Amino acid sequence: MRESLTEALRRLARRTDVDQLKRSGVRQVNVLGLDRIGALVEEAVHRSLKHRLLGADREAVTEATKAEFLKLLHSKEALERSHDELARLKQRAEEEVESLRLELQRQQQSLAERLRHAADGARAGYEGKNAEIAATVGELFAAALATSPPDLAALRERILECFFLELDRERRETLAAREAAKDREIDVLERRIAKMSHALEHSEARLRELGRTHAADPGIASVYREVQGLDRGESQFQRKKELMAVIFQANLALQKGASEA
Amino acid sequence: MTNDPASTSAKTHGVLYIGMDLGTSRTSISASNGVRETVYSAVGYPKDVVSRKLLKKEVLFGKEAIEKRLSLKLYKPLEKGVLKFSEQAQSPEAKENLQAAKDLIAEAIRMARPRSDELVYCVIGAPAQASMKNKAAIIEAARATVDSVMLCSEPFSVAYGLDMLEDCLVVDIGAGTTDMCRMHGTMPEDADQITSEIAGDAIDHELANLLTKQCKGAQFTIQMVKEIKERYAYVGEAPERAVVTLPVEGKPTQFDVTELIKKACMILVPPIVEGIRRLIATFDPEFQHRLRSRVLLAGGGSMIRGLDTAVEEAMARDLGGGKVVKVDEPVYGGANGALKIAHDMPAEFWEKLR
Ligand SMILES: Nc1ncnc2c1ncn2[C@@H]1O[C@H](COP(=O)(O)OP(=O)(O)O)[C@@H](O)[C@H]1O
Repeated sequence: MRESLTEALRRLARRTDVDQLKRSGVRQVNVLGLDRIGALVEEAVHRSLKHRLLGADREAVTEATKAEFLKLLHSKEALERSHDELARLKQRAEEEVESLRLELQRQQQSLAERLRHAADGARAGYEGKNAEIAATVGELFAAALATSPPDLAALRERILECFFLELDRERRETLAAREAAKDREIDVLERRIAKMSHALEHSEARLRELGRTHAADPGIASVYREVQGLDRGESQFQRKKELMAVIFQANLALQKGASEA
Repeated sequence: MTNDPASTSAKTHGVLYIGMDLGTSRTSISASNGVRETVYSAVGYPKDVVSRKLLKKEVLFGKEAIEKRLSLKLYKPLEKGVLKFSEQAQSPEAKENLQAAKDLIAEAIRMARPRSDELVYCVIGAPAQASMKNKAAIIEAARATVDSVMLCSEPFSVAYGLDMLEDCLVVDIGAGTTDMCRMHGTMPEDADQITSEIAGDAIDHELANLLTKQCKGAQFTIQMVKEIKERYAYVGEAPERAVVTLPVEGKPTQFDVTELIKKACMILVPPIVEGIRRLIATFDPEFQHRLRSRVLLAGGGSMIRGLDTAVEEAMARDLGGGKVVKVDEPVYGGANGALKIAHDMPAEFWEKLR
């Protein structure tokens, strides 16, 4: 049993080195070898059993104790494994979020690209239109100037008429183009992006959740089961007792003051 | 071995005691489950959504916060050991700072790794000169995470931890201040306390000035200076040569800074000896010699090698003698003492403060 105990203790112990201790300000440590601790545990078990049990039973109980101890140890390992499992899940979720984020970015870029293309195409069209309008206006002016005296009122009418016609067609075309664009992939893209954003949010929430579970630390138990207080055997017992009362009174006043403020 | 379900389900409420030293530069804890930890007293919150996404955290502490300060709104919630702005509780700075202090205290408690089924009783060492408002703010910050909390004067807890309750002088050398406190068996009061602004930070600045003058062209930051100091600090006989590498126009260059380090560290000695002189001179003449022969150096600054001897020599010259000792564990001295107070405090006192 000694062997496996020592091994178990070694596995449970946290490793540190002297430099690290020094850096964190620790100058003195109490050294107790693993072997010695193992021996102590074994000794303690034997002693408490000696008085209660006879030979054969004792052996049986020792065996059971050992089994129990190893079980405890394994349960700790199982706990660590589940921690590992969580860490893996967390990593997978993180990767998922990362790839979703990339995909979202790609899609958004492609949408922006498409819209820019559409705008460029339209701009080319506009230039042609502008030239056409300029030509029409030129013709109208030429016609008006041909009569003498030039009929400016008629010219104004004709230009306005031409202008409104163009405007009207433009409006219709814009509407139609928008409809067409909608019909095409943009709509699909927008929907995909919305869906992906949603998925991203969901994954991130899960990630946070996992982070919380993973961070849950069972803690380390205190060496005390109940509130202690000064030990009568303590040096300067009376003086320390008075000092404790002074500290308490000051804190009581402080708390009263704080709750009144 | 049988597993009696009744006995395991009846929760045994353990009691975890935590002693905390809430310092300007460092917050340290020492707990009754054997945990001892220390963290730089810095708290950072991501500046914006982008930083939050990158850092994947809502709040960062200590070294990590200092390293990533560019993406953070960084708080050092304790100035000279007292909560910044706590005198003007309604200002936005006061609120943010109080929140940072709360988060820092909560983090310090977390570092102690309490079990969820245990009571947590905590004693916090705070500067003796902290105002009522200040102390109330610290209590408020702590109450959110512990079952019961008490404050105690920091130098007192250092002395209590070493069982030096009577006739001794505690010299606590921190980053921003050196606090000197006279102990005479009762709680120290204002008259027992002297504070000097010459402490760790002042040494850093002095050393930076000396480096600028003596190491032509060397480039460095105050953080680098601090690290050099913490590695080589000494007074008296040089225990080793301090050879450091600093860039000159980008080229790593070696400098022997042994003498400069000693010179910078020595600025501590005169104000300490003057403080000791005043605290002794105003003490009961019958016991002055006892005070003089029990001077205790504590805090991060007490790690300067040879400082005890240097102060002793200066006392012999100026005050006709004295005896100086360093605490064994400068970083945990305050927290260890606070832990001992927490342990020694009777149950009914803890109960009344819950
Ligand atoms: N090895 C060392 N030698 C000299 N000074 C040190 C050493 N380690 C830390 N310090 C200094 O001690 C100061 C911090 O002391 P500490 O007691 O933690 O301060 P506070 O109580 O103000 O938080 C800093 O100025 C730091 O640079």
